[in-house]
Amino acid sequence: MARERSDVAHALLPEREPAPAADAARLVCVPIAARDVARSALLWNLAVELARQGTPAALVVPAPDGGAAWPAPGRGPLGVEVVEVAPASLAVLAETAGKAAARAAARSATPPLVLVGVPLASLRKDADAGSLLARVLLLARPDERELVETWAALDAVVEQAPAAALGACVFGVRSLADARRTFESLAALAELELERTLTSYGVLIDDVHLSRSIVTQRPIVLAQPGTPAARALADVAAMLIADAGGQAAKQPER
Amino acid sequence: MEPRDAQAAALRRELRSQLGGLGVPLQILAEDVAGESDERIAWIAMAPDGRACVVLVDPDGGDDALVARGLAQRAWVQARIADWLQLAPGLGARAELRPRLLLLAPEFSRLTRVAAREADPDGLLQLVRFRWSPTANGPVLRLDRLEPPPPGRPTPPAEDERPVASVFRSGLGERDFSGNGGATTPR
Repeated sequence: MARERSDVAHALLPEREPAPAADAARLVCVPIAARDVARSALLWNLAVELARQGTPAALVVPAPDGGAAWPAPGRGPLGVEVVEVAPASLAVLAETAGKAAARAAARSATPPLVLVGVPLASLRKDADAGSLLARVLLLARPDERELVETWAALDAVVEQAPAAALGACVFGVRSLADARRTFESLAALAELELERTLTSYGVLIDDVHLSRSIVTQRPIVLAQPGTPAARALADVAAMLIADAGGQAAKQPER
Repeated sequence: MEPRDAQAAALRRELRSQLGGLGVPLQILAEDVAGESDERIAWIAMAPDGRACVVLVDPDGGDDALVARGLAQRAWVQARIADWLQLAPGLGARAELRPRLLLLAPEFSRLTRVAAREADPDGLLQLVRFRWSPTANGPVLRLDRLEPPPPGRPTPPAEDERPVASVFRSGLGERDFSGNGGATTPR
């Protein structure tokens, strides 16, 4: 997707003003692999749902290598700003997220939440990631290969930021029982190997509505409200808002 | 045979059959050997490079006492390799090599893993976790080599600062999944 120079200038040009300090509790770091369309789409939909519930939201992600799940960088549905970053080092992501949080905060009296997609590779090699990794949300799938990658990301996060608040949200499951099992197996491993507990952020449903959202670049909660996928997004967003110290302005629709 | 004895025998058989799959092929030389202080050594084996391997099993769970016993038994074996070579020159053992130590148990605490790392920084002490896993063809014993915790990892937050437990939560119900075909999105 072509991007305007202004969209990437923040990552390339020297800053005229010092970057605003981001409230670490308002940044939610989500490890994500390159070309991971499903997680990218879920993140964007989650950001839009946060905004629908009254919390200003932004999404800061590595510039996608190919098609994106969102219409274009900049402000989109419900004012959610998408910022694509290249190169997506942890330092640049942290600085960009801080600025996005400041812009969102300037538009509302409600403290914002910024979802930050962090490349898995950066978690190992980048240093000084503590501020960005204060709050980490893993999007975990039950597939064994993916769980290995999720575990590797978790291990890297704990090594870099031992005080990070760790959360996990399951997707790609056929039942609530599968979601519970997936979370509990990951949590048991975290408690055993890392001596850390995981906070559960429920389950997201990646059914046909998410596929439609990817193809049409329209958020589920606006295009298909009332569907299970939309209810799941509302549930997860409400938990994120509540745990960040806020209160969801609009309760999830039932 | 008592059920507990039968289970122990089955465990021992499975462990023995899988010992060679832990990274280095092993030829078992002796089983249930009375070692230091007449404590039992489950197996003494030999690797292709002539390094002896001492194997101890604790079916009830590994702790720092197992590490201590293992180190003592390894020293006992190492002190005798030269004598064994005189009795059996074809053994292929190299007395100058410190034996590898394999400790097998259903679980090892982080404390024990750190202790093992510190006791043997050369990596010749290997902790192996075993667990029975149910399958369609009956229970299968799975062995996992445990990597030592990396040194210098910052201390995790104090106990009272952590969340109390990893508890799954969701406002959804099973009916929200009816008609969901699972992961339909591309990876």
